[in-house]
Amino acid sequence: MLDWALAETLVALGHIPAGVVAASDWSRFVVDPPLPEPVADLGLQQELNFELIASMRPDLILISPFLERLEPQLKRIAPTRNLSVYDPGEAVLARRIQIVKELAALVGATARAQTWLAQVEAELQRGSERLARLQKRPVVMASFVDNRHVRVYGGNSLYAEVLTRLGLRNGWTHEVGYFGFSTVGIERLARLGDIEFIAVEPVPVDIARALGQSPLWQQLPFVQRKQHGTIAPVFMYGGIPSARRMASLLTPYLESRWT
Amino acid sequence: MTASEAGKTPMLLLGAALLAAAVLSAIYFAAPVGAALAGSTAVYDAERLLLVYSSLPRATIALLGGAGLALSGAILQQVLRNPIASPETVGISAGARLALAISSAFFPSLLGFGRDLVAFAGAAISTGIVLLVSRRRQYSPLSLIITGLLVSMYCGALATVLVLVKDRYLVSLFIWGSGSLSQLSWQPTLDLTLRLGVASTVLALLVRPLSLMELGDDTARGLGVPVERMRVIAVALAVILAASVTSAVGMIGFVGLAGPAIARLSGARRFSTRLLYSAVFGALLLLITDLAVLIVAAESAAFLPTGAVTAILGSPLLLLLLPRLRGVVSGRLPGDGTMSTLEQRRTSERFLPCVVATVMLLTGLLLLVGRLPDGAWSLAHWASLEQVLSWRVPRLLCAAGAGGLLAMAGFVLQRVSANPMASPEVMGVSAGAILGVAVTSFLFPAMTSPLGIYGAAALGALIALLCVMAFAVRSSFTPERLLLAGIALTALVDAVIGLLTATGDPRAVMLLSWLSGSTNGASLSLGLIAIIAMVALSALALLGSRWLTILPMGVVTARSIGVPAVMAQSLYLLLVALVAAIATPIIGPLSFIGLVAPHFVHALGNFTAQQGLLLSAGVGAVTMAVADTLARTIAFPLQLPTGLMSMLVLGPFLVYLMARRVDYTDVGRGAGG
Repeated sequence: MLDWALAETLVALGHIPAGVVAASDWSRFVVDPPLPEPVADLGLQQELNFELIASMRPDLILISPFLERLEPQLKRIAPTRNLSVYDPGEAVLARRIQIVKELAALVGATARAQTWLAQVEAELQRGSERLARLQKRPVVMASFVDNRHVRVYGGNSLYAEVLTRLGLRNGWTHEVGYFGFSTVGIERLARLGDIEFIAVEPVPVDIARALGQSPLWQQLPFVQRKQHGTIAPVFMYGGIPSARRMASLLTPYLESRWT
Repeated sequence: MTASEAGKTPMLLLGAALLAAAVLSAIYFAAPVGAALAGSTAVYDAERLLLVYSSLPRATIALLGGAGLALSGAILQQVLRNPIASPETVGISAGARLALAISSAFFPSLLGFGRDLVAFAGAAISTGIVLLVSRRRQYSPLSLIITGLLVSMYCGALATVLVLVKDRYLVSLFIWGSGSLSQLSWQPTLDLTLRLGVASTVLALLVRPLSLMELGDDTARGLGVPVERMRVIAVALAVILAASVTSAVGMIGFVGLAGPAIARLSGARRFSTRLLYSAVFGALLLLITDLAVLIVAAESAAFLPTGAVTAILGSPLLLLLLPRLRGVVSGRLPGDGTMSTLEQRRTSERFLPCVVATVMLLTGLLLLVGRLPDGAWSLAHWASLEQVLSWRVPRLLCAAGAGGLLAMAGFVLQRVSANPMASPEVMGVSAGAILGVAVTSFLFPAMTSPLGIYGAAALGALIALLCVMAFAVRSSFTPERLLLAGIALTALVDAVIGLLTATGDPRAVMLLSWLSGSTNGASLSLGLIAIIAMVALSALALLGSRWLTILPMGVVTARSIGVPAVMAQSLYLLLVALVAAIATPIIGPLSFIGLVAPHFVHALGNFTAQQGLLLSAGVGAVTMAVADTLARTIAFPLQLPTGLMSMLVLGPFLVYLMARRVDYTDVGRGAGG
């Protein structure tokens, strides 16, 4: 019984959770690693189906602080651990590596976690080496919310930290909110200089038309120089597997665009 | 416009608004315009680009949007002869919002080309429902506003369910719902200009017949105005105006109400003058707000959608403006009729215990209904009973207790205020409880203890009720004043939550779960507390059952028979605040149960105040128990929040009730004033 970030980490450690909240949306937002077949859908994150969870007789229940208020009920079913993937005061990747270790200890996969973490570390390292040979520009990671607004990522977000880890500079230097992003009107991108603009899918259907009609967008330096594009979905609240996925998407993408 | 009509007030108000707009524009536009005029040698000039393609279209669309909404409000107020009609209060905005929510969750491709059409369709349907229901009462102001409010709340609840089930798809909806004026090109402004232009041209042709409608339907008909057809056309026009604006920039709260209200305050009596003034004030109002938002939020990380700001500023403003509004039709309940209180039904007394026992047994049986992990429906076996019951009993007790409490409070409020549409949720007492929690979570983010949250809820409910009471005393319990307070507070809560969700604030999740009335956190002790509170407070309420019998006949009558009316009212309102504080955290502010249960009891027959009170509590408890069972099973494996579930079930019933037994809302013109 898990939130997505914990679930994807468990799956990466080769341990299949018995159930995940909102499993039906997984393939659209997390994508990789795919959720193995026998995992049960435990219902809405805000509205847990306790009866169902109890009938599955879990050995261990893992929750994020969002569900803290329901901890007394969950403890009646099985031992419950509250693991915070997110901690505004701490570096995101470090926190998530810590989560991997804690989870591994809980399911008895410490050795496997060591190897896996080393593997991810090596991948990130290779990525940053590959990118180091290129002429780099600051990167702005964003997701289009509707045809007039974007979320831009900075500070403590997973996206921003992966950029840093790959040796890239984040082009969005303004203040961001609690979860490491802020929602702004697209016109706020006008003051960005020479950057690479990457939107994470899914993008709204009517965005292309709206941007096509906008002289402002057309004249943005990164649009003029065709320094913009999209990458496949990466779960923005995710754990190390999502970070790894992002690095593996970003590296070839940038290699194909930069010289 | 004649000289006497013009007076000094409109010029003063207009001058002030223009000055404010000019000062803010100067602050905001001085630097970029100066830079643009000076000319830049750079190839890419961000500031000039922003000025030409973002700031200027934004200011223009603010003016257009404000004018469109205010015009829509002015038309509605004219043809419905209702000074508080507006795109929000007759359900236009809520319908458009729900339609867009549905299409973005299920048919996203529709939004590509048909965003406007989807919004129109939704707005037309919801407005159509509101008008159909209130038509039998000749659109009496109160009946119309209540129906509009209920339909809006219902649309809101449906949209919330969508957000819960498909939340990750709908962030855009919250931004849209909070009305951001952000612009990227002149295209939306041009589109909106075209639409508003066409609509205004049609409006200009209709000014004369519409003015005549002021004289009353019969007189207008005598002068050759096809009243019914004209009304339909005018409302359609209002829908088109408001939905165009809404589709372009999202929900902009209260401008459609405030524009015409200010126009009225400034003494514009003729319809044509009022239209003009409404449009001007609406336009300036939105521009001023937007510029202020831009200046305040200039470089901060906070995303501040203008629509949410107008809604948050607008609701208290509305309350302040109300007493000054001339021409508010005041009405009182007829002392006799459907709320007849003195008839009794002795025969039913003997059956009551049997009925109660049967119903309790049946409710108990609900506990056995469930779904197996594979989704199949099942009745619990003895073997799994203990396990299953340990989950279901606390939920059921909480739901039933809260339902009973709210229903009892609804009954008391309807009696005390002599207003058949009063209830904790409609009067904003429940919204006050939520607001209390919201404010507390901001001031003391660290405080998460249940006790603190309940305390905050109680305080919020009490403050809301005190505000409403202050109004009640000043307007001697005029029903629409009470309801408007509720509308304003509910809209405020909506705006706050929309704002939080749009900015991605983590507290939004908690508030949303509160708002939807989740029994997820129920524990056995909380359930027992709810039940005990229901019994104890009902008993307390019974102590004054003589007052409850007499108060609906009006304060004057009550005094004449020696009932201390004001004290009785105050004591009961205090009781209601207590109830709301206990029940709202459990079941949320939007269950409708407090409104519906007393009416349901009334439909069963005529009872004494004592019987009515107990039966209302009973009906409330049982209804919530059923809603809880449904919420648990219907969308398996998803569980829906009980409060929302009850609203979804009771909403259509309520609209049906209002459409059929229209005499319930017969407090409009003619009845008293």
